Amino acid sequence: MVEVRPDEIISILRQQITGFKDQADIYDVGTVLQVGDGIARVFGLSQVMAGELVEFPNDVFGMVLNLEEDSIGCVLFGESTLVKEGDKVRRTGKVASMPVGDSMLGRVINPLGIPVDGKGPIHTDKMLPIERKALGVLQRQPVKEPLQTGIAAIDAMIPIGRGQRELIIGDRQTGKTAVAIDAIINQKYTHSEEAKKNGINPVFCVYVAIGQKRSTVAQVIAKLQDHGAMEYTTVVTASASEPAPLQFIAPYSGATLGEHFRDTGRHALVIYDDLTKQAAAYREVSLLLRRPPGREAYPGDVFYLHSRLLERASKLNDELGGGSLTALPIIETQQGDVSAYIPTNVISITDGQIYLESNLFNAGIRPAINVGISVSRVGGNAQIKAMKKVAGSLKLDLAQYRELEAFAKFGSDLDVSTQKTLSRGARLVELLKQGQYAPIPVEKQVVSVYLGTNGFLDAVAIVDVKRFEKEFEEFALLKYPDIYKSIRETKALSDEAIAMIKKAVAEFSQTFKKSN
Amino acid sequence: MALNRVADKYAATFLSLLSEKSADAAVGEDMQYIAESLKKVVQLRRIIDNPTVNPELKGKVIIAIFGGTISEHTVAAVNFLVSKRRIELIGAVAQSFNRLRDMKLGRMAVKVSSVVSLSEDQTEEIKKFLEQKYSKTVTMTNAIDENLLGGFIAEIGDTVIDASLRNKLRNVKSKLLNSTIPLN
Repeated sequence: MVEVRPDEIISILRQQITGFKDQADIYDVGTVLQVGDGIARVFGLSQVMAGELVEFPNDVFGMVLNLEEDSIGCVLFGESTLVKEGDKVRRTGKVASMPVGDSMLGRVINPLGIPVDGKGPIHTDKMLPIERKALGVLQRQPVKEPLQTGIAAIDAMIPIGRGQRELIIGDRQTGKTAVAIDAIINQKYTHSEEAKKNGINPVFCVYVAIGQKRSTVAQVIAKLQDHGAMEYTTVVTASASEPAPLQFIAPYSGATLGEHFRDTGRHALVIYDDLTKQAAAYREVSLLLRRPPGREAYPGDVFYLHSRLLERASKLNDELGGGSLTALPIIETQQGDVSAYIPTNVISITDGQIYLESNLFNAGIRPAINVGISVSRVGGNAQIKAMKKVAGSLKLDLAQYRELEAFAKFGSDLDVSTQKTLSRGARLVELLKQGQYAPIPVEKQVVSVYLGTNGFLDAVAIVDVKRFEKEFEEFALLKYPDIYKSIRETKALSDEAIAMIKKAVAEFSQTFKKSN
Repeated sequence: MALNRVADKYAATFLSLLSEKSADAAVGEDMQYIAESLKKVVQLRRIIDNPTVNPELKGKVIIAIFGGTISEHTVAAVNFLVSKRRIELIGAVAQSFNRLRDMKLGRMAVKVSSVVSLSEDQTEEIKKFLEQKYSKTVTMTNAIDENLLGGFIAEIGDTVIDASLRNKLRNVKSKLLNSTIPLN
């Protein structure tokens, strides 16, 4: 306990106050005409900027969204019950901004940058506007480094690069958040000494929870903490009980925080969970501001709402430090309907999408990724050589399997090659199943996929596939650790490594016990 | 406030018409008087705002009340508003009229609030300062507001010049709250 010395405190306070400039303030004020449902109409403030932060009494802040002929429309970021008709509204002269800095890591904040985790104030020395313009063409370069999610199905077939925007889309309860959380947990490796040695730069994560239950957010935070992932992660939360305006700006706050890392030459991964709810919050605000409704009652600029957000994901060129901001937006569909307004919009903006399906989920294929219709348009360039080498035939094998699967249900007499394709496919599907919160390092993924696509699993019963994979891994790590080491260090699958894998499989198969 | 646009149109028309007859100064005073009466007398405002009261009756009421003191031009203006069924806008028209007239004459209405009533010298000084700053003639109204604690505030349209003690204390408070104090 530090000893409290009143005279010292007094002298410090005196010092602080002596520096205070005794000046008259000049500011603009307006009068609240109408308030309710989280929005306020204000008369006056004729000089106010669009997007400017205005101050109401009782420390309630608002953001100006509508500039009309004789009044302005603002959204309130606090309790609208604290604002009355006739209250004075003061301009702040600033557009809505938030503090950013490395001290945000490990913290839970609201979209205005105020901590909500009860761990005290966050000290930062930088403020950035929440709405920022996306970078131009010249400042960017193509995506080239991989962002490993630790999910074999994604890293092998739908690879994501740093700076990419990859949509995670699916019905409720299909594991969309699980994919995103696994991706965050898997970034732990990038912060290790070993990763630094292998030339992998750390990835800082921002998880933006929009319109979710507080209990769900708490659960996610607890999971991240359990896996030691909070050290490099910030959670931005605007839960369902928060006013709609906060939910609507939350993703932009997350992007601003991500840009702080990007602009300082580092890598950031931002997850927007989920943009469907953000669009709904924006619709609410827009309708209350009397903007005309369009399709599904969304306002006309709902496309721009998402496109300007996702455009902020980028890979900077080397002169600007080569930082990146990867965005993983999440969209929830109703009954698998991807042709609804918001899903089609976001699909067209992003560089690919990961489809999660509830029938796959219920069939026990988890993560429930439909690899047939999931794509990644730019991530292929970012895949490591070793993975590129083994994953090529994986997608093909699975496509053939799915084509034949439907037929196989009818006929019993199948020719040998069909049967082979079917059994191979079934084993690959089994191989790509993966538990939650258990990301797999890329070198292990490479070896597993190699085993699957080269027929080493064909003789193993389907129920044994996962066990075979696991036990082989233990065996190989013990007897042939160089396989993994070489892939990790050279990022390629050399002929020697292949020879070693073959040798290891031959040895291991003899000791592997089938389950009965 | 959407009706303000209509009021502005009427006020602008009256102003241009009356300035030709150079009767705008007298009407301006009348308008000020009517606007203030409407603000102060609730019963009158209720009658004017009540949609079930016949517009002609509203006009008669206004003329009966103000008839003796206002000029014939103002009476004509009121009658015109009655004939256009816009008499409920009389308050807004009166305000717009004076605002537009001030603008035309390069004048500026300033409301100065202070805790104690200002002395002549103080008023002059504030007035001189404002006239210099905005290079416009200033018409000043004073008000007493004890919540200011000390100093004064001047309101010029949307802009506020805040030299009150309340604001200074507020600034000191926010500065102290936002600063980090090194404790060793």
